[in-house]
Amino acid sequence: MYTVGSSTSEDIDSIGGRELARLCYSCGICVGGCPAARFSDDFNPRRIVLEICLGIGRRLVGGGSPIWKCTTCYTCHERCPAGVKPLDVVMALRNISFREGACPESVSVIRKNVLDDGVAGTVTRRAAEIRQKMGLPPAESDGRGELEALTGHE
Amino acid sequence: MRVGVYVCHCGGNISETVDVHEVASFAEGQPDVVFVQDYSHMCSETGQKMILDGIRDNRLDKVVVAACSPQFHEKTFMAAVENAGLSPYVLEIANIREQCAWPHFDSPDAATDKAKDLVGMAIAKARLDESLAKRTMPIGKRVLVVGGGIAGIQASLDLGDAGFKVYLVEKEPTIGGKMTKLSRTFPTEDCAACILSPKMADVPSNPNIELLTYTEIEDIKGYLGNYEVTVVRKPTYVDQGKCTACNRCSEVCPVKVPDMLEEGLASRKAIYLASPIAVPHAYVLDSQACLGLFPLACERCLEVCEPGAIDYDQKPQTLTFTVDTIIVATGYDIFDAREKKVYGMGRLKNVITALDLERMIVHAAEGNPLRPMGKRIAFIQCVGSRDEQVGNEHCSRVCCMYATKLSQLLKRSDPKRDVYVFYTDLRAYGKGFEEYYKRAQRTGVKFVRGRVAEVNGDSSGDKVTLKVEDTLTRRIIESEFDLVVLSVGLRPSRGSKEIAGILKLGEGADGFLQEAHPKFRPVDTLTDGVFICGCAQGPKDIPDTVAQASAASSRAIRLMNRGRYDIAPVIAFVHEHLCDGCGICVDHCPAGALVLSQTVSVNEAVCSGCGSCIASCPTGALDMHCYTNDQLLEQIRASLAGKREGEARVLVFADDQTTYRLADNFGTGKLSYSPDVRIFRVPSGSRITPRLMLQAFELGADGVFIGESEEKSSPFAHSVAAIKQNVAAVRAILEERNIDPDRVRFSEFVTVMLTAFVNQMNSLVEFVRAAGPIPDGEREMLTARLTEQRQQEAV
Repeated sequence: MYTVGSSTSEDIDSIGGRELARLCYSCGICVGGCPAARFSDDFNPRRIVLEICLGIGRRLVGGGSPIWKCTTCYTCHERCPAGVKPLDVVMALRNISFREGACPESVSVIRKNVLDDGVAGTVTRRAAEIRQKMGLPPAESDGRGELEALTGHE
Repeated sequence: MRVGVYVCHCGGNISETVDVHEVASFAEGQPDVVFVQDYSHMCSETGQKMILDGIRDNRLDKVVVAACSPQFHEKTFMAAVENAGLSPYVLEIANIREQCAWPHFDSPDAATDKAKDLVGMAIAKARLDESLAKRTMPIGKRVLVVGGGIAGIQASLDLGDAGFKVYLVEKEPTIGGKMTKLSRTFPTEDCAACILSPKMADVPSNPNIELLTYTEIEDIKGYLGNYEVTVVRKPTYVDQGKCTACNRCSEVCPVKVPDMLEEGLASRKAIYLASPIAVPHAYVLDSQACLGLFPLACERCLEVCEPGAIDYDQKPQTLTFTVDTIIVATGYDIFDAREKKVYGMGRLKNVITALDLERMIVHAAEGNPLRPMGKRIAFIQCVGSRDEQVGNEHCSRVCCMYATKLSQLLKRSDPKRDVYVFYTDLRAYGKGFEEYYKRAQRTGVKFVRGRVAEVNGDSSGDKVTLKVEDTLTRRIIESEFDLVVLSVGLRPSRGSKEIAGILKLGEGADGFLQEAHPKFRPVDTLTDGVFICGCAQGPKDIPDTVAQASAASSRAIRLMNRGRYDIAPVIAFVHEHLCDGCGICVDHCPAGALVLSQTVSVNEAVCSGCGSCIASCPTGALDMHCYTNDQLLEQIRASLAGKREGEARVLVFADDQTTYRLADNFGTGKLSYSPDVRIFRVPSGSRITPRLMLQAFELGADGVFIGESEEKSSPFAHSVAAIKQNVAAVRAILEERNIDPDRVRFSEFVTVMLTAFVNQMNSLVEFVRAAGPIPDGEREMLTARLTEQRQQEAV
């Protein structure tokens, strides 16, 4: 049982995509074509949109939340007949979680990589071997210069 | 001139706030007023007799009644005035209840002052009232019905039976429309063709109906009582009177083309019968498919035709006729499912539309279902409905029930079949629909709540796989089917678009033809004498369509039956000595009512009385009966007569249909607003020309507000655009004089925007108060500047 609107937080109330979320009529077209939902029972974009709309989405904030399973393929955007953008809701929830210091290990690694080397992923040994085999030059593993040029921050 | 004024107490409703005696003595002091009386209930029989006696005893020729809003008793008092032998249009009402006593109940002194102004305004207008006659125009009993589907058939039969002459125009070779394709009808499961064909047969046997099949509307000109229609009959190359429908021509014809009656699932010959129940029951030669008519390439049909019905020399035939009213019954088109690419229509052979399935079921009853049906069948709902992706936001209303029908017909004819309906919401809103849905469930059809995400085919193309979330168990289904049926939605037909263009009919946001009022005029359009019915107006099922068709014919009969119809005398007229024949106004008339020869003249049957033309005239030659330039000017003068030193006064010009009603309703709710405003009732805000607005400022107004019905609901096409132009012209001149242009404001309203209206009115009053009155010196010569500008433009 829940009380409608009981577990809202200001953050969740004002997240991007919530205005559009109100237009959802729960047809499930987003779920039917969702690659993440296909392999993970607890990731259901329709349910996420509905819970945010009803103000009961607090459970979706945090490192263990299903929101991190989204592959950001945008199929839901492309197919939604009501103009809802489920992925906007998911991304907003991710940002709230991150601000609260909660995200899965795999995401903090990316963050650390970017801050340390300016690249999201590190070059694995396997990748280096393949490159060599194909006659490609070694991959750049330091993107800090490029990042600085792009963002203007050191 | 002898004006009589009656002041009503309304049993205290007025007199408890307004000092009616003070108002009466004010009236006595007005020019030409020779008789004043006040009474508790002017609308009562006694009150009406007072008007009658007052007119006779005092030889009154103008009457003012200060009472409730004209929406309540204008007709009552007009009748009283008419009974006394005067024109009903010499009556003016001062609305001192809804627009004075009630909203200003908390400030009786201001209310009394305002009531005096309102009475003064009514007297000023009445003094210039013309003794207009009620206008009537002759009308005949001829109707054009566009479209020969079930809507057009029903309307034609109703009209024909009632003794009206009907021209029924259908572009296809047969009448019957989409219903001829259906297997059975929900929820009763009648055989569609069996109940339709007798009705179709009644059409040619009705002596009042002239049936024009294979005919397109080329043009329609004119107005209520006088629509000139031009149609083109396409050649069928078969003499319909001689053809016995023996089928020999078709047997020998060497050309095969897809048969669109069968949705392309079967073929027909180039010479063919459009439907087994076709009316007229005659063959048609499809000249596009024929091996060649010019020059003749084959002639086999001619050789075998015993009655000699084949006629290769037929030419398109243009016909013209005149009708009094028009009923548009142009139906719908089905959504083209190929637009929804993820569902594979046209790409996967086992994906079909529900209309394909209708034809398959019809033929299955005779042992040949046109194509295999399979054992596992899935219906996908809302294809092309409730879907912004394809631009159709609307619900098509019939798909839930036709899928409920088709699915259980399939299941019942072979209980071993697995039949699934994947729906978004199941809408079983009609009579017997919910019960019918339950029957489908009992039959064993499985209803799954989820909108199908995609349909994929295997390499052989035999099996198709659906992906869908069952939203109620929150599980994703990925399942194989033999056949996928797309429940395609309804769209406005191409024919509707064409006729809307010809008749200038409005379309709603969904593209279907727009009715004049969604509740009370559901089959009327804003064009007098043109009615809509059936799916042309919006998706609906057969009984709703038939009901609307009967409604449309009844509305048409209502106009025609009397042989004459009334038109309001609120129409434009020309001061001929001022007209120089420039013709600018002709383009400004949205109704096409102005005709230019030496000077301009007004077609009184066409003029809708919006007043747009008046503002466009550079010489001031155009004017309007019941609301003449002089009348409005004198009303404005009177509205400012009681203005005190330092007071800021706002004049509100309120369109009769919406804004004036808003002011009434606000008063009825006893909700107060500033008593500094004076509200004028006008047919449309577009009647208030830039000149009148500037004159208001010259005479002492500090703010002008124009209220108009929202464009969509306005009875006057383009009035909003005209007002915007007028307001812009006035603002520009004020700005030149360093008068804040924000003193002129305009807004569109719908009848529920009570607070919005009053807030805007109050905000203008506050703005004007804060800005202070316009110094007298700056008010001068504003209209002179307008004249100057107009002259420059003309050069």
